Amino acid sequence: MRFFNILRYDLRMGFLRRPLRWIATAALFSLLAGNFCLIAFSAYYQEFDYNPAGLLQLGTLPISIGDEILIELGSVLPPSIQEDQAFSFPTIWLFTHLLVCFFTLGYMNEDLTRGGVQVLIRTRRKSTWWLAKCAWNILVVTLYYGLGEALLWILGRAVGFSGDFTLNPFLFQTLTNRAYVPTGAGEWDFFVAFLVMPCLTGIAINLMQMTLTLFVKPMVAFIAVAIYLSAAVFYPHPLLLANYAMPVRSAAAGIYAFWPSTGILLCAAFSLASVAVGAVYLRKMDILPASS
Amino acid sequence: MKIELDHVTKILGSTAVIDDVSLSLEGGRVYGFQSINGSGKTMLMRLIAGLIHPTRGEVRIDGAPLGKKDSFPESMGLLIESPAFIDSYTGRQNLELLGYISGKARREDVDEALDRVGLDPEDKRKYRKYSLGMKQRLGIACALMEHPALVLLDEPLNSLDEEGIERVRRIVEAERARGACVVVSCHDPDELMAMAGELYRIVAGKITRRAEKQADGSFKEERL
Repeated sequence: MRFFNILRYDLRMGFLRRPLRWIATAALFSLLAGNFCLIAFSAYYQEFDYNPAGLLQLGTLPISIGDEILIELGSVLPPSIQEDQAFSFPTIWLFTHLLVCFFTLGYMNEDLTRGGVQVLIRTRRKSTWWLAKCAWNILVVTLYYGLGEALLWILGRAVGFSGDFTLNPFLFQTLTNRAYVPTGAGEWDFFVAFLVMPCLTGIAINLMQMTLTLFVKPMVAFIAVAIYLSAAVFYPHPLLLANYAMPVRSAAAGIYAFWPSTGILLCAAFSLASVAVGAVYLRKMDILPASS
Repeated sequence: MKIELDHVTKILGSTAVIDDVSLSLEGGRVYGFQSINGSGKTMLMRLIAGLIHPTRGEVRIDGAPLGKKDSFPESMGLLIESPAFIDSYTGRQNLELLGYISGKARREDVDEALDRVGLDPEDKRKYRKYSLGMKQRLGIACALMEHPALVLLDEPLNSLDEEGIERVRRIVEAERARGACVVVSCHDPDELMAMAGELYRIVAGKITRRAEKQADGSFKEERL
């Protein structure tokens, strides 16, 4: 019972009372949707006889929500296999994933060292408090990706893109410099690789970050997470979880073979390890004021 | 409720902020910790509250070691250092939120606690508009609203005017009479003597003197 009471408190304090963050999320994903329209239009400019009014007829092109996700949040192939294409760092992809890390960064720590002490002592057990914070973290990250992906879908459908994940070979070539070879992956495979995996990866990374803030200052934890995310851009290693949050490297896209099943297992393992480490450490951790 | 500190030492960094302290505290009594700033009385409060853990020794609540099964005493009201609440909530809203978490304080309890410290439960001002004295009163009300068996008040007289100080004296006495174990820390020995039945002087993390109030109101002191 107390767990749910604290969780409700956390959702109120760490979510509902911070509307600017959700406005920023909506703005970011709306901009991404707009950016994709411009990219797609630029790629097909010739199709519209170089007439800017063609922007209004984007929906007549064979473009899907899958293309939108792949171009905007697909990230890039690692530099080692980008044979004849200049490597371009996926700034938008990194920013999108770091933004939610920033949203969840300070709340737990602030709560632990300031007014939240009165909440903490009323939980009787630190483990209850910690589990509620983990649940809060998972909910915030899920809502972030859920809201963002829903906006991309809604705005994409509004423009006239198809609501499935059928990839457009021309846009695929633009992003990867490779011909698109269908892998036989079904809609569900794309759905998991393009929409679910970024969220699951985000949950694991945000839990890791929150656990880190028990040991180091929040900003240090944030920088560590930024480095961890960036490392995945350069190294396609399975233990760098962010690789599973890059649709272009998913097995469904056909170039790399980051299988969602492995990703789900690794994300679950990293998440559980973070929760466990935090719970064990917090048990013996001294709660001192922020000034200490 | 019985609280026992058994040869408790707390080392932070390389400094022993609490040094081999043994104490036994019981319900229905008021204990006063007196020292100059930085001598360890707040740390001692934090130890009893379960917020920090002993480096050596043990804190027991009713015989059960604190930090094993439960992290904090089951029934505790705590005012420690500067109270912090949600800026955009009124005093009542802040206390109701905390009471909701523990499930032990209803609106009547919140209103009664606010009334006891001299705050108007109907006051619509947000916490951010409160004066220092009002914030302190709200912190005390927060410690009282659930009628806890253990009341820890760290420097409760800070920022209070004469009327507020008088209220705190009455509150402490009422809590004692209710059967609560009340622990008060204060740097002013006169104020502490007015409230406490048993006084402990803390110097550099050690309890150096103990004094017990006699029937005539005087204190009989012993060096430890």
